[in-house]
Amino acid sequence: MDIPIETFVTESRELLALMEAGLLKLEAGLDSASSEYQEVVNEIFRAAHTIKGSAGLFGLDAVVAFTHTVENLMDCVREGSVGISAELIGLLLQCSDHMAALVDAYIQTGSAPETLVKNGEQLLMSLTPWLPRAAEAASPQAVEEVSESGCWHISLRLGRDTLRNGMDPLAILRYLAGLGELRYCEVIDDDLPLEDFDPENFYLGFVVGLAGPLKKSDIEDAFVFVRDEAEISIVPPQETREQLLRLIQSQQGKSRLGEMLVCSGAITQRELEAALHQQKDPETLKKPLGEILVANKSTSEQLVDAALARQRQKNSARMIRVDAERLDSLINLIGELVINRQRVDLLTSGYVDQDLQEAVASLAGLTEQVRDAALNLRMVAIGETFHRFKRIVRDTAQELGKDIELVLQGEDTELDRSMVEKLTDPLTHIVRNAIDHGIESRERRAESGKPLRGTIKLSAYHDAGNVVIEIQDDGGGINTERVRERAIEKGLLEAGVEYSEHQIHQLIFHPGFSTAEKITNMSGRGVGMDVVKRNVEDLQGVVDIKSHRGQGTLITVRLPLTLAIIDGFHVNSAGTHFIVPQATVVECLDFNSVRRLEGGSSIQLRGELVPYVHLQELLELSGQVNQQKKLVVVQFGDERAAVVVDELYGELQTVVKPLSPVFGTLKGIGGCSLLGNGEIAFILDVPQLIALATADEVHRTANSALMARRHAPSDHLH
Amino acid sequence: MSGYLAVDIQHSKGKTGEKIAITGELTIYTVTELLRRLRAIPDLGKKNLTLDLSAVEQLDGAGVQLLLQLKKRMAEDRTLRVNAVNPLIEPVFQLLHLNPKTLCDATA
Repeated sequence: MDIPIETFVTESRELLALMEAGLLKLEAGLDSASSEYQEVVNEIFRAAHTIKGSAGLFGLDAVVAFTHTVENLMDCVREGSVGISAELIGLLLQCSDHMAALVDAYIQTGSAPETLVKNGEQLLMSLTPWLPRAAEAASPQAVEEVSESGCWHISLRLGRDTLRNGMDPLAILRYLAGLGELRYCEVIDDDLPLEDFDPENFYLGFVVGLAGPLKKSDIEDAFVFVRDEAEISIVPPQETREQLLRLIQSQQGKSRLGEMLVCSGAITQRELEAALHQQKDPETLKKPLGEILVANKSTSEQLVDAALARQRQKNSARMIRVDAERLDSLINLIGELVINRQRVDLLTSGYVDQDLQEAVASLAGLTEQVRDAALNLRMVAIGETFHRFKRIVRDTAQELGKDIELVLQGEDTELDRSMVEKLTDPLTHIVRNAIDHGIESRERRAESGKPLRGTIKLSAYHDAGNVVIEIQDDGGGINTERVRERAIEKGLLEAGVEYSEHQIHQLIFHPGFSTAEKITNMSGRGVGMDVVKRNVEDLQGVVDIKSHRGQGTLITVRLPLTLAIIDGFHVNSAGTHFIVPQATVVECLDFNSVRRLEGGSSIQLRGELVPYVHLQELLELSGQVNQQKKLVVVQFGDERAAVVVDELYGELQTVVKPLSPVFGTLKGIGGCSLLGNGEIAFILDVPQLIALATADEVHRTANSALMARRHAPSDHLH
Repeated sequence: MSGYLAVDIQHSKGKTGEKIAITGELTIYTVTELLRRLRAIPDLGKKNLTLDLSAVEQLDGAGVQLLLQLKKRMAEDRTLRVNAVNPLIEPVFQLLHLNPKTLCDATA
């Protein structure tokens, strides 16, 4: 794909996303008198306008033709001659989809296929109820005054009090005539009244053509004494306009629209200041500068568009497109750097040389900064992913006849690029579930006294080295009873045994599980939540579900911030090195100095029972053990556990290398790393460890309770 | 108040129409007075009108406006013509690209 057209594709996709977002905002409801409404409508118009212009440059005729109508319609909407309605928004959304399809078709095949063009025509036909009005309404962009070639075209309408103020309009014309050649002059007497004529008022207008090597500011000087009450328009001759166009397109240095136009001579400083002043006026509702300048006839739309295009060009130069693979290899290299640096650390630790120690310490600091900067390159805000859901929620809710609003929070929360891609599917499934099974129909909601409009809230935030994503709905919640029944049917639960609500809810994640009576085409097939869980676990995260019947459901996905390079705590168990992710470490204790629970494997920690596992036992390690064992308490989310190890070393940074699939079944390990001394260390998968420790503890406690019951003296009925 | 009048008009009626000769200044300083006098003429504009500007020594924007207003007031099928122009004021018509004889656009 050509570079220029690649830019066009990226730009038009961004603009189409903007258009869609704007249309969805309008649909959510905006007071048409509010400034926000005007802003959104303007944004949609400009998006269509820009796409049309750029498509024209590349000769994508079908796009231009189709977008032209959309642009016209939006123009009328923003002027107020056409009103927005739910129906129109729905059609416009289809239009933006069609525009996207056209762009894609051109990119893939170089032309727009017949069927697609036909679809477009039909779509445009459905817009006709709104279009005739569009055709009638005068375009706010007045027909551009074309000047005679070689002439500055000046249109002048002086204020009523000009004569009273002591000015002679003829003197102004004489001044102009002195600047160059007055090729033509027309006296406009439209405003000259027949009745009530006051000869001391000035009613006439002039249109003159001035030829000569002039700058706009030269001409403006002629009106110095009258411009406060005058309407003046100065249009440069064709060659000058072409010159201006070229000047704008090659602009260096200035990046603000106003500055660019003044610098090239398209407008004068005074015109810019007047327009800026108008922009602050609450009545002009924060109109874009370009529009104000064109409305004031300070310059032509063509020049404004050229300046805006140049601005975009320069802005996009501030961003670089980077090949994802190159970025990944850079991060790999930095990982190697980190390991190597630790090796240097180790090797020099014995040397007493102060200079050497300082240099090594500063090397450590720099490596850390480089590492952080590189990792930051991979971080993207989750907002873009979240926003995609707006459309999904809207369309799905409509299909099902439900009224649902999507609320987003924490869109700026950043996470690793690779994670964002892998999260989209699981998140989509969870959201679809919420729409399908979570939020009830309007009738049901009315019956239960809930607001007719259901809410799904997607939020993201950082918490102790993790990214937390929450999906909350205010729907009907999980029907615990039904789940229990199905689980018993499938043999997942035993009848007659007490299980906590939370435990029953976890069964949702079991493969093949579904309580839906009807399997709709989006969920209910039962292949969903278990895949979601697996996807999240692949990212070394956890997913949890909390639900209240009648109130709603909350699904929490918790992921580590990054998978590439982490800060870790180095420990040893039976001769094998392990690394505990620093963010999960709560504290370290002496194993023997903590209170342990009889018959189980938990410790008492400040009033809390924390289950523990012996790493050696868990992983069946055979090596030298220590009598003085150590305990590392770890936490992930709300859950805590402790790991018993033999040695504690200290903090280090390490590069996470994935484990070969051979080790896939190894529970509790989430990757490995190379230590400075060349040995391998295994990185603990803390969520898994906690789960194991907890399950183990439950098992043990249940067993010992059982044992206690068996051996306790009691009244036996035998 | 002196007896000197900066502007004066002479009105006469002829067979084919009316004639007005203006003498003196036709400027911001005199237009109000001039208009007063013109308004004193009944049914002005209902017959063809000929202006004699050979004795007009000064003509400024206000004056041009007044002349144009006179022209605009003419009844639909009546014309206004200027049959004589003082050379002193010819440059004004040239500047404005106005045909001094018809007070219309010179290119028309």
